[in-house]
Amino acid sequence: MDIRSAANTDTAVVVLPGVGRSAAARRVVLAVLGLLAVVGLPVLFYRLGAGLGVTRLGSGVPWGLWVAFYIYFIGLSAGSFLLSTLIYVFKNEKLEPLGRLAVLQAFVCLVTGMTFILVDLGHWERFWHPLVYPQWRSVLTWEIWAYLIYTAVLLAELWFLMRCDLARWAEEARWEAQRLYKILSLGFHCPTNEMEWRVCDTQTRRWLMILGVIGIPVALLVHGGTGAIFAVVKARPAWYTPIFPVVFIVSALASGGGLLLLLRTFLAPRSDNDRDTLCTLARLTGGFLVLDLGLLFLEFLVGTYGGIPDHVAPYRLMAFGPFWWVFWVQQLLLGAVVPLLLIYIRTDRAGAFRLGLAGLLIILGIFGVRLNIVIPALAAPILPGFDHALASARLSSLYVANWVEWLSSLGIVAAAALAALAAMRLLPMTEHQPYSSHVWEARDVRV
Amino acid sequence: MNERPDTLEMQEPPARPARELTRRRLVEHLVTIGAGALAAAMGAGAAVAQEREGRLPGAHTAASTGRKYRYGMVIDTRRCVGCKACVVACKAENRTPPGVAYTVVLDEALENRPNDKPLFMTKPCFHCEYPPCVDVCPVAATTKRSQDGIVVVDYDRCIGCRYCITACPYGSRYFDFGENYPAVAWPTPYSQVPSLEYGQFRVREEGRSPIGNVRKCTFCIHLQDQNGAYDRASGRWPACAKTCTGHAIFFGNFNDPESEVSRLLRQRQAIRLKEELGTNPNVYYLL
Repeated sequence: MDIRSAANTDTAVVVLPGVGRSAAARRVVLAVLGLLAVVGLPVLFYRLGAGLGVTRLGSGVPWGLWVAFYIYFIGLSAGSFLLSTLIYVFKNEKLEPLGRLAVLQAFVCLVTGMTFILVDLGHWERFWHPLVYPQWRSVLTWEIWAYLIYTAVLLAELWFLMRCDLARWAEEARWEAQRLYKILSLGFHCPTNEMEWRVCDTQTRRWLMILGVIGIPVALLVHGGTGAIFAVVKARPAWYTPIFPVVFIVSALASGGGLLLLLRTFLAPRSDNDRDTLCTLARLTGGFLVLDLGLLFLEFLVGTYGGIPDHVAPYRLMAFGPFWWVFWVQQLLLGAVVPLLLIYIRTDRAGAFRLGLAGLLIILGIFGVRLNIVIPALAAPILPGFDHALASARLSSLYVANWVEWLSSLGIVAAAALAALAAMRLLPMTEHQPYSSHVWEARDVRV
Repeated sequence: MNERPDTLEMQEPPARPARELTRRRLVEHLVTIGAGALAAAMGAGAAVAQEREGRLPGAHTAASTGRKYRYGMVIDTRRCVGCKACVVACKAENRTPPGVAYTVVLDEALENRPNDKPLFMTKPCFHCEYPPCVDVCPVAATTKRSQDGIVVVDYDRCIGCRYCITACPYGSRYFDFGENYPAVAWPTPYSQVPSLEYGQFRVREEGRSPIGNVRKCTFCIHLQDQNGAYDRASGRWPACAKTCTGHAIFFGNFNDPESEVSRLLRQRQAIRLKEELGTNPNVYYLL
């Protein structure tokens, strides 16, 4: 049969409702993201030109919003990637439709996270120094190299995931971005008959397995190591705990699952067996969230039980400081209790909207977690009276990100989201399908 | 969509290759790798601990540090009146901008003694034997000098990540945000006066180092002579110690048993801050 005509006649393969299906909602999302990017990116360039003096950072609280965003996005990336290995290494078939989205999301989030840490540097034009002058006792050096290896793994995995579709699309003249696919396919030729296609598919799966096996320790190193950047700092009692890298990985898995839920339900192309997939993912994500709450409880218990003033101070700031609501409302109520109820109350009946909302709340909550990791530990004065030793706000223990930090952050996030949406629209995002149908529908179910 | 006669057949998984990496074998491999890494880490940790034991605090001899000089301070809190002349002298010497002070005076009211003199404590960089800030720097921009143990920053190397600020347990590191005191800012002629710091004679310019770098006390390293020695009589002495109105700040070489600081340590009971962190500071406080 002519597969082309089959594809053109029937392309709507969507059961669950979602924003992605509605043109108006889609336009609203794009408009908001576009506006944020248009407003935020000039602020970002203003900051890059003017130096860190335009921020509210100081020597008292030297890391703030951007570092929180940095660990947030690295976490999203590692979490998404580790979830994707459930498919490609541990062969979880229920999650299979999410595989490409998870890996793409991992890549975009990684680049976004690295952008944030670049923006945070006092001399960002020297970003290459850690590569040329590495100091190997620094965990930060290990991490920078881990990020590079991780980037390579992600790119290779993305290519192997999509090479067959890309090669096919490159051959199809109707499509205007043909040249793009030609470049992206790196000269890979798609088999022309069914037998070869099956051999190719087997090879692809094996490569994905290998990359996944390499990627798991790398991803753990990436985010556990990001946790270790903080955990090795003996000067800050709230960070100085071996549980920290573990907390980072667990909360990364929760946030990665949350973002995957959100994107899959609201924005990305979907297919018929989504309900089962989404429910599986939601339950998994909820499980990680519960585990994360358990670790949080342990941190509080051990950190405060002994009553050592320096150790208690950051937890006191977290729970009762000027930003108590980040902890109680954003992190615990809206970021954990509500999404857990949304997920676990009659999961089998849950609609896409409900699960997507849970995903959104989880990722907003984990952002609160990231803020509370970075800031309170620094906001507790390093020595009594240090915060008012000079008549300068730069030593203050009260850090509130200003408009430069917020707008540039939102600009980066919006630009990253637009790039991700464009990639989802341009790239073959639908999972493995049989030879006869796997190209033509996939292309038409776009964002 | 309805014309997929052979869909099921084609989705059939291919036969398993003989040497497939099963989950069990994967776990076994990971355990092997993990055990190897753990053994290596334990070995490295033991080596570090052993090396540190050879340099116990209080062993103030050249042999104990392997360095020509071991500069440090002894600060007598009973002599400190909290006048902050040291802060001002340091600022004048090193031309530090607002928000950057290589020494600050902390004052802490004593608990339940509201009418007593608070505890004043001038706090320069402690130039620790094991400085945590040096360990965390990703580009080796901050180092402990091999000849005299002074912890310095290479402004042209530093990327401004501020990891060292978080890692210093004593708040001795400050980020230069590029602010200026109006009286010495451009376009006043004072803005063109170079800083003596590190003997580099940098003129403060927007966007140029040390703006955007982390800065810290250097024990006024630019006042050393060619041999790395200070000379109090000719004024080549850290500005804070030189200025201190109450003679509370004593500076000197701990490797010389007859130096003032070494004698003070022998005669008086000194403490150091946060000893439990193992940083082994070279600044002592007399109570």
